[in-house]
Amino acid sequence: MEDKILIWKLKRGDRNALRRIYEKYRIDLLRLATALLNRNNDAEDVVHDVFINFVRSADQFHLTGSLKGYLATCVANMARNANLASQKCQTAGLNGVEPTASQRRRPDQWIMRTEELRRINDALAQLPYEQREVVGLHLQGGLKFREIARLQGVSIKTVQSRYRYGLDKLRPILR
Amino acid sequence: MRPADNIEKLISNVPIDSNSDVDEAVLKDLFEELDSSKAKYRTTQQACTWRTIMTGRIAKLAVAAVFVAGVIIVLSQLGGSKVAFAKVLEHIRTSGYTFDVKPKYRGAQIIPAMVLRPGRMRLEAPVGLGRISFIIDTTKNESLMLIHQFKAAIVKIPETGSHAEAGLLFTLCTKPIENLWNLKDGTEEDLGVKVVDGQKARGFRISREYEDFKYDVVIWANARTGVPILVEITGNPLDGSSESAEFVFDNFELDVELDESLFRLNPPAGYTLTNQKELDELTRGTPKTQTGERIEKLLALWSEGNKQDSVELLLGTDFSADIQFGPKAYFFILTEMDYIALKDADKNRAWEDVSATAKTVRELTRHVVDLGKNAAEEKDYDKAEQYFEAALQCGKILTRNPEGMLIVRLVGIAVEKLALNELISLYATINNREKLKAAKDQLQAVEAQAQEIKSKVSGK
Repeated sequence: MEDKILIWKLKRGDRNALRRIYEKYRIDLLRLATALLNRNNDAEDVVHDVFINFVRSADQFHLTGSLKGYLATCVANMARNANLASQKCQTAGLNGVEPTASQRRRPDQWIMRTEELRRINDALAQLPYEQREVVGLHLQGGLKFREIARLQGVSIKTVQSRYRYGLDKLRPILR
Repeated sequence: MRPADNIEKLISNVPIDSNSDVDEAVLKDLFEELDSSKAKYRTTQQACTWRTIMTGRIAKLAVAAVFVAGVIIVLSQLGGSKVAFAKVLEHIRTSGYTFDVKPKYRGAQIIPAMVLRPGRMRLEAPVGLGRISFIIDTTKNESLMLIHQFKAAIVKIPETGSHAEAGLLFTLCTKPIENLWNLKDGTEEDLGVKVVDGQKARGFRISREYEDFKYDVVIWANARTGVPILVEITGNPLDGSSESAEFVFDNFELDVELDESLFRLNPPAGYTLTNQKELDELTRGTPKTQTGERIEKLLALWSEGNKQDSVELLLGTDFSADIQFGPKAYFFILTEMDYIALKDADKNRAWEDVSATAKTVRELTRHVVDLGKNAAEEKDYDKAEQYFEAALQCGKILTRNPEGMLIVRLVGIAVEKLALNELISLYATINNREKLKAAKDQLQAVEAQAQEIKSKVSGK
C-alpha cells in the first residue's frame, strides 16, 4: 500500500513522495540497467530518463501491479532502445566522437563499480539479449515470468526456458 | 560449481551503490519536472485519487461504504418519474435511517452506516487496527475520524503511518459526495417485480458515468410500501481495467431516531485530537527523583558502552523508592495519549528517543538475565536471584503506568516474562515453593496484561 500512497501524494506534487520513490528503487533499477546494458553511463541515463518519464506521466499513472515491476519494465524497454541506438552508432562509426550525455551532465560516477559487479555483468553480457533480459527482470526487477512474457510478447514457457538456459550458461562462467 | 539458487542470489544482490551528490542532482531534475507538471496534475487529481484508492483492498472497502452512503443521499434528493420509484425515494428522504454495507469480495466485513439528513453520515468502518468511525458532513465539506481503541480523533488527514489509508478515504469524503451521482429525474429503469428477501419487490436500475467509472445502482424495494430492501452497486472502470467495486446494502431501518451527537464533528469527551501539541509542552515541569535519575544514568552508561558500571548501578537500585523521571525521559513519561496528541515532527522526535531507549533496556536486561543464568549454573543462587529480580523490577517500571505508551509497556512485559521464567526455573531448582508460586502468579498476571494490550491494539 505504501507505493499507492506515494503515488497519490506524488500526484499532489509532493516532493517527499518523489524522493522516497526514487530512493526506494534507484539501486534496483541501476542494477538492472547495468545488467542489460553493461555500459555504466548508459545505465545511469536510462534510470534517470525512466524516473523523468515517470514523473512526467504520473497524472496518467494507474498502478495495477508493483511499482518496482512497472519501473523495471520501463528500464527494460529503454535499455532495448539504448542498445539499438548504440548499434546504430557503431555502424555509423560515431562511438567515441561525442561524450555521452551522462558524461556531459555528470562527470562524476554514479555507480561505484566493484570487481564483483564487473564480473557478474560481464557474465550476463555473454548471454543472448532475451535471456539476459529475463534473468535481469526476474532477479533484479522482481518481475514474474507472466509479466516478462507479456513484455517480451512470448509465452510463459518460453520465458521460463530462457531463464533456465540463461542460468545454465552463467553457472560455468561464475563458478 | 555454484548451485542455481546461489547464482540467483548472486545476481539479485550484485553489489552496487550510488553517489549521494549525483542522487541529489538527479532529484533536482525530478523536482523541476514535478514542479512543471503540478498544474497538470491538479486538474486530474480527483479522478486519480479515486482510482488509486479503489485499488487498495482495505481502502476499497471503506470507500465503497462512503460511496454507497453518498448514493443514498443523492437518491434522497431526487424525484422519480414513476409513482413507485417516487415512493422509494420518499422513504430515503426520511430524517434518519440505518443500513448495512456489504462489499462483495472474500473476507469483506459488514460496515454499519447511518444517514442523518441533510448530508450527514457516520460509518463504522473496520479499517486497519480495530474499529474506526468516519463522520462526514457533506454540506460543510468537513469530516472527523475516530480511532476508538486509542481514543484518538483526527481532523487533519493523515498521509503517513498506519492510518494513511483511512486518510486517503477522508480526502474523498471531504469532497461533496452529493455531486458524485448527479442523477436526473426519470433516469430509472423499471426492472419489474420479483421476490427479494421473502418480500414482493419492484426493482429499479440507475446507470451513470462519473469520472473514470460507470456505476450501476439497482434498488429493490417493497412493491407495496416502497421501503428499500436491497441495493446493489457496481462501479466499473471506463478504461476496461479489472479494478471494480461491487457491494450491496441491506437491513434498512427507516425513520430511526438518530442522536445528533453521533454526527458531531467535535471529538467526543475523552478523545484526544491528534497533531496538536509539542513535546516540550507535554513534558514541562515533570519532577525527577533520585532513583529516577539513577535509572536514567545507568541506561546512559549502557548506551555509552560502559556495561559493568551500568549493571552495578542497576543492582544497587532501590526499586521500592519513589521513581519519577525527568522531562526529557520520554520513554518513561509519555502516555499513549500524549503521543497521539503530538505534532508530527515532535512525534518523530519522541519515537526516535523511545525506540532507542527500548533497545537499550532490552539489551541491558537480557545481559543481566544472562549474568543470572551464569550465576545459577555456578550454583550461586542468591546472586542469580538478585540479577533476575533486578531485571524484573526494570520491566515493572515500564508496565506500572496503564496509560503508558503501548510500545513501552510491551517492552516491559517482555522483560518481566524473561525474568519471571528464569526465577520460576531457579525456585524450582532450589525447591522454594512459596516463591515459586508467587513467581508463577506474577507471570500469569503479566500474561493477562499482555493479552489486554493485544486486545486494545486489535480493537477486539
